[in-house]
Formats: sequence, structure tokens, C-alpha cells
Amino acid sequence: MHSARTTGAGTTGTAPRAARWNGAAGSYPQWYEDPLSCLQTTLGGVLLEHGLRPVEVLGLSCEFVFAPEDVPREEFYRPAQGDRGVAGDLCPYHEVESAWTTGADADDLIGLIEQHSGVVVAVDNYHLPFRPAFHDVHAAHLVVVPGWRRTAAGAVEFYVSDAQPPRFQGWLAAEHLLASWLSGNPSDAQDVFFSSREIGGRVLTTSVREQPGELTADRVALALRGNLDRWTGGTAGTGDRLWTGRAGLGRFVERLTEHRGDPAELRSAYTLGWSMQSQAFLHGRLAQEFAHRSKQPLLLEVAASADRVVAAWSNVRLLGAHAAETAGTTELVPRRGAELVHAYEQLAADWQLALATEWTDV
Amino acid sequence: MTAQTAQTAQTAQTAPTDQTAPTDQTAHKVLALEPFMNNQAATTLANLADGRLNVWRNSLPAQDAPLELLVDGVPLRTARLDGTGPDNVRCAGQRIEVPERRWDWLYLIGCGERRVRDVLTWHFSDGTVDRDHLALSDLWEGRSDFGEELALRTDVIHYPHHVQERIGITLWCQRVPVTSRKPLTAMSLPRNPAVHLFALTLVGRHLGAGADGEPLIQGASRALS
Repeated sequence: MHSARTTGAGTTGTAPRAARWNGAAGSYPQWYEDPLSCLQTTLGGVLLEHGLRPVEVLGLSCEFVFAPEDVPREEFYRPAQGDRGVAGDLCPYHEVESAWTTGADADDLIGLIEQHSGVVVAVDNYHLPFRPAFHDVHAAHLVVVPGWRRTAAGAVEFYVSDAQPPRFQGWLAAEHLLASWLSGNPSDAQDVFFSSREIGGRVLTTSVREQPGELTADRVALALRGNLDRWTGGTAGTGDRLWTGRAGLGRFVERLTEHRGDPAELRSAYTLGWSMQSQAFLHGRLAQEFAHRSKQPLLLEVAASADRVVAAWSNVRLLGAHAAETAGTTELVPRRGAELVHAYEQLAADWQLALATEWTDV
Repeated sequence: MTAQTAQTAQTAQTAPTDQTAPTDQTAHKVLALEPFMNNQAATTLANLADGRLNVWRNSLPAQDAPLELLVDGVPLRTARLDGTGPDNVRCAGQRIEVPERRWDWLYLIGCGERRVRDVLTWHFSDGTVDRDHLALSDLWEGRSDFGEELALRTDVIHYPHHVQERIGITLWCQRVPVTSRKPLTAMSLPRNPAVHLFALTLVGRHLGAGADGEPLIQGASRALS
């Protein structure tokens, strides 16, 4: 693990990088839509902090990627792809990147916040007073921690922003955040999806060098071309660390079908699917917005098809989540898998149709 | 769609709602879901852990009375939501027989675990089947993504061991078209554990107004025949 960058040093705990958040007033920018996981909502907050619209940055890329050797255990899981971190994977058309690092105590966390002008922190909800799971359920999650301060009494507090309902932002005593950040996140029968992997002081540092600017038709077309190329050129060879695109999804569905008697395998589709579903949702939203703005009606077809990918993921994910306690559902795995493949194929066809028209900025 | 208040709906329930009752040229059939109820959505403080609305075992705070709504003039009525037992149908392919005739819409109260799309399968009197799409938004702090009206929105949500404030559960009023004009005899629900249904009402034209399958074509349309 390594830090993404070293810029930003020299800021103080209570006066981070931009005026777009204000610890005293409690106004860190938050962003939430019900299909999104904490991975997108935390990165969305960071993008907003830099004056960027999350939908325009996170909504350009849409793809399928699966790491067959990974055992996903966190709400924020996404297979690692490129060398610019998960933020770079999600924002391939912008100068945005991230890196995972770790710390062991309050001083480490303060140092990371100062070095990176705020960080995204992995937490166990069991220890966070504002989460529904407080002192009830262990579950991995992400929150934004843009600053810290020392109170008049000398105690350390961290500013915490969590856009996921019930939504919280404000100053939190260090003991809560540290217990959550350093938690062992033990196995918990009440959350078999996001427990049982140590949080271990993980921190996601981010770097946003992209300047706010108008999204152009060229950039949208470039993204659609990239999505189409990654779909048609996907691979799923023996020994490949990543299964991607059409070939990858086909093999993923085959594997899910072969292992449909194994609840753990099906549950992993719930976790993996969240990141893919969120991305398709944001892609649809972007396509819809840009279609109206740019008078590109074929982008509305892209939006509708992306929404079908979102729906197909819901059915795969919830089938996987309930398979262990709902008799007779696992036999539907091939059918739900076929729906998912079909939904992506239709989206790809609509990318192709949209790209076949002339693209000009209006 | 417009959902009227429960008070108005109460009034509506005093009117006959059987298929033979003409209401502005429409007929309704409130379908009895009790034989199919296999899931408990509502809980009380005494049995918080009995709810099964989603994988987290969230549940709906028990209500004083069944929900009774009038949506587009269509009556919808849930079972009791008092937290004492099954109160909704979690979709598992159940087949529900309906009075045989042409129906135009299925109105419903339901919710999705996450926003969900699936299909209803219609069984027609001539032995054929067809499907139409069912779409329901997320029950957990969701917004209406498919144009549904609210059937119920709570201020709190029940967890197995506590009551959580500032998160609401939503039940939605939705509708599904019966695209085919063939006489319908039954429907099959999707096999989808994410779909919960609390009330179903079929809507058609009242008998004698084209409900038997004869299309009513008037005016300029007649020139086409």
C-alpha cells in the first residue's frame, strides 16, 4: 500500500483545502441516491468538495469487471483494476485517483488527514453512534473525514460525513471513530455480507486534480466508445486476474450457475453487484442528463438500457442474498444471469447506435 | 395516479367494489391475498425481530388499521398490519385465479427490496400466456423511481433489536397494464424474493361496456374497421 500523493501537506486540522466544507457550520457536501453504496457516495462527496458534479465524473464509465480470486466482504468492494486506485477505476476519464493506506492510532489518522487534506476512512458500523448498527451489528462501511480538531479540554475530535441514511455529519469524539476504524469487524450472523474482515485502520486517500468544467460531447462520446470497447474486448481467460466485458460476464454467470448450491458464492454476487449496479445507475443518469442538454436523443435509449442493467443486477443480487433461506430460488440463477447478460448486450447495442450518429457540441 | 387520503378511502370502501359494480364505467375486483400471505412486514415493539422485509430483517412499524386507499378511483385494501403475523405476499411464483373476463389494469400496493423490475404472467382463457412489467421502488428510504404514489411512508424503521429514527419505509401504489385484450383467468406472480405485495385490485370496464372482449370503438376509429 502506498500514499497517492504528498501534496496538501501544511494544512491544519481545522482548515482543510477548500471553502466547500465548513466544519464549524457542519456543511460537508453530501450526495446520496438509493442505488449507491458508500464507495460512490464518499467519492461523490470528495468530487463535490472539488467543485465537480459526481454524476458527470462517476457516470461516464460503465462496465463489467470481476476478480475470480477475490472474496468480497465490504460494501465498498470493487475489483482493483488500474494503477490509479479505485477512484481511477471509477473515473477513467478524469484526473482523479486514490490509494489505500493504513494507520494504527489517532496520530496516524491526523497525519493522513493533514497530508491529504481529508481522507475517506473505513469503519465498522458497530462502533459509530449515528449508524443503525451501533452496538448491534458489525458491518464494514466508508465515511469521509475531512478534518480534525482539538477541543478546549484538549480532546481530539474528527469531523465525519456519512451520506448514507440516516445521514450524519459533525464532530465526533476520537474514541468512536478510532474504535470503528481499528475494529476487527468480527463475523456477524446479522450481516454475513459485510462482516468478518478486519477494518484494520484502512484509509482511502484521494487526489483530484481535475478542474471543474463543462462536460463536452467529445468526452461523452469518448466514454461511450471506451465502454463499448471494454465490453466487446473483455477477457476471461484461464489464469486472468480479472474477467471483464462480455466474455467476463458470460463466464461469471456460468460460474454462478455452477456454484448455485453454495450460498457463499451467491452472496458474493450481492456484494460485487452493488458496485456494478451503482455504476450502471450513474451512467444512465448521466446519459439522460446529457441527452437533454445536448439534444442527442439516442442517449435517452442508452439511459433506458442502463436502467435495465440496474434492474437486472437487483434481481441477481437479491436472489443471491436470499438463496440460503428461500427454497427453490437457486434454480433461477441461470435465468437471472441471462437477464443480466441481455441487459448489458442491449446497453452495448445502444452505445453503438448512439456512436453511429454525428456528435457535435451544441 | 393520484392517491386520496385514507379518510376518503374509508368512504370508498362503503361502496361495492365487486366486479359487477359500475363506477364511472369501470369495474374493480379486490383480490383476496390472505391465502397467499407468506411474509411479515409489520412488527410491534414486542416482536421487532419477527419482520422479514429485507435481508437485514427490517420491518414496518405496526399500523392501527389496514391501509385503505382510493387511487385513480380504484380501491386498494391491505390486510391488517398489526404485527401479529403474515401480512403480505413475498413473490414466489404464486398463481392467483381471477374472475374470467377482460381486465385492463392491475393496481397494487407493494414495495421492492432495492428498486426492482420483474414481470407478471397472465393466463388467458384460450390457454395462452403473456407477461407485463412490474416495477417497484425501494422500500428502504427510497424515492419513487417508477412514478408511484405513496401508499405509506413511516418516520422510523424497525430493526431486529431497536427502532431507528430518520429512516423511513415506503409502500408504493403501482399499476401494471394487462396489455392483451383476451379474457384473463389467472395471474402468476414473479419468483422474486425482493417483491412484496400487500394489495391487488383488478380494473376493467364494467360489464356491458366492452368488458366481454368486444372492443368499444367509436367516432373516427370506426372508419378503420
